[in-house]
Amino acid sequence: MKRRALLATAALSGMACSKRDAEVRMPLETSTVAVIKASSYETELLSRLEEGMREAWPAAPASVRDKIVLLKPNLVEFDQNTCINTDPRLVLACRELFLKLGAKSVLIAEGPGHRRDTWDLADQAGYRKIIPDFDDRFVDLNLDDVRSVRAYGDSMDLFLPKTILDVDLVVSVAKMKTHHWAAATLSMKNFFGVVPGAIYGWPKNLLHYQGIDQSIVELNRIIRHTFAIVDGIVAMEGNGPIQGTPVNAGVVVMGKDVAAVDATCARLMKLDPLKIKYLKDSAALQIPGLGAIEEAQIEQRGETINSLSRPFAVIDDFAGLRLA
Amino acid sequence: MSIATFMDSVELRRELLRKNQNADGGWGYFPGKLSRVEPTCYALRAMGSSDPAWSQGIRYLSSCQEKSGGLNPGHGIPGATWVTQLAFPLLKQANLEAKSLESAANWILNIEGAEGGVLQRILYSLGKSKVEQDPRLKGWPWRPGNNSWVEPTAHGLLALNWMKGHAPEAGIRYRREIATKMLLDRRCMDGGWNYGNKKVLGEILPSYPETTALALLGLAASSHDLKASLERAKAHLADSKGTYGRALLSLALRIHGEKVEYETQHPLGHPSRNLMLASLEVLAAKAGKETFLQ
Repeated sequence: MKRRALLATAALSGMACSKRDAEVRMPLETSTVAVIKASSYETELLSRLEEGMREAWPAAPASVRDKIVLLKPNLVEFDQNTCINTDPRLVLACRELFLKLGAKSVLIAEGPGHRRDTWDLADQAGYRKIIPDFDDRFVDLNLDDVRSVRAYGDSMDLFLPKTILDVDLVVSVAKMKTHHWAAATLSMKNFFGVVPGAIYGWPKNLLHYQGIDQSIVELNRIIRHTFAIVDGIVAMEGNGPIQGTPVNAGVVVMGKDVAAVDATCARLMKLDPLKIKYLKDSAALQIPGLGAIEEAQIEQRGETINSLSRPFAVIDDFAGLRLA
Repeated sequence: MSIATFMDSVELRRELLRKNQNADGGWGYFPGKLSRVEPTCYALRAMGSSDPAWSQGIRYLSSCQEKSGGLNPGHGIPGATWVTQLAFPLLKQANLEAKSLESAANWILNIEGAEGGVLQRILYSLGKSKVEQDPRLKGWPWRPGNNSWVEPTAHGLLALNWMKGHAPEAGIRYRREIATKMLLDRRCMDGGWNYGNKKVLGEILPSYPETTALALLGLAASSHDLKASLERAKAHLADSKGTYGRALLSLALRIHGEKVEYETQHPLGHPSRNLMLASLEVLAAKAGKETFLQ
């Protein structure tokens, strides 16, 4: 941990918490997050992602070489008048990025929570049209073979797709959106899509019964071989994740620590990540590499948050999350 | 497409299913994948009871029945789920021993949605629910302990049609009445159904093709006025591109007496190689009321 960040964390902890709390927090590592300006899906997207990767994960070439990488976009429903899903052009650029980094293969996989015809959804959303060999690269996570893992404090078996558990790296290629139950859906919430509908149904009601916030944290505690790339080029505000309003935020956020990436996204949306329950909980668990959400714990690279942040409209339930 | 070409595409799919029946008798969702109850049920319906694949497939379904009477989704995935409703008509058609049928029927009759807690009912009665649905009306959940949703409820209603002689008549009537009301309560403003929420946080939600079809299948024996829903289904069929939704809509509309000719958009097979879609396309081409109702 860098001395500057350590001091800043200690100072912040001292201000906000008791001495005992501060002592507990001090061993936390910093996480690196890159904020990349990208005003459109058309111009130099791959070079922007390469730039982001150099900042966010300098060791990526060595770590990714000859590995199987899985891109997990956010595919929910298709409506040509809005921006519900991760844009396929960004997913294509991510695929090219990881192939350039030396990945052995790059899969694309999703398991939507409402719609059963995943292939058709991907087709409508434009994935099949622009991604080469899409039919050979795409895995419907709702229908994949599964393996059980212990979850929810070891209290139950959770069946997850073998493809997710077996690949070397899962990249959450999420959409930056507000969310009417969880405040914001970003790279961590995106993992709801890995829970197989064929076992848990449509919608994936189990996750709601266990608690949305708890389930977000739990899935991210299980799926640890991750990297996050959040599509905030055209994001969604208001009553997301489906019926909100598109907003040109012009940003891509990247990093290894999904909680740090999401905390940064929240700040870009002018929401307080320290008040978003699943982010608070993931930080409280102090899992190495997952949960640096305070500003002082995040080594911000690329653009500054101030230069690209803008207030996202939220539903009344989350008005208290707004940053000044 | 000519009739000959269309029949070829049906036979092509049946051949695909024949080739991809696993050694345990079941089918996976995709070639080479482990058997599961859901694709096996659709494959068996597509192949029919006279096909050599039938008895092995039924044996696979039977092997997924747990002590509780319900069926789990597949070997190695314990815990009975909604697939019990989906499989029941096939187990009945296969003349499984009475004890197995009774325990499966009993499991189905005893499982209902977990919604309807005190707070939920109070909020509903005060008009303060975030989700607009009558919590007193329970259908079937995907898994015990969760809420009722459209698809498992539709299959629950279909299963009730095959239970005569294996469960108390009063129990069957009671579940049919409440589950039918539940489906009608969850119907979207446009006349169709989505997974089961018509209005959330004041926002009216649209229906989907596939769930509209499934709800109509579930209501096939109902005497309620479904005109608006059938119109919605026809509109979805005209607009939809997805094979899953189009096949189910063709099936549902035909079972409700509408004249529908299903036309596949992928005569040489669906690019996803999804075996359940192959089964549904066979059913969309030929299945009648007798496939789902006794």
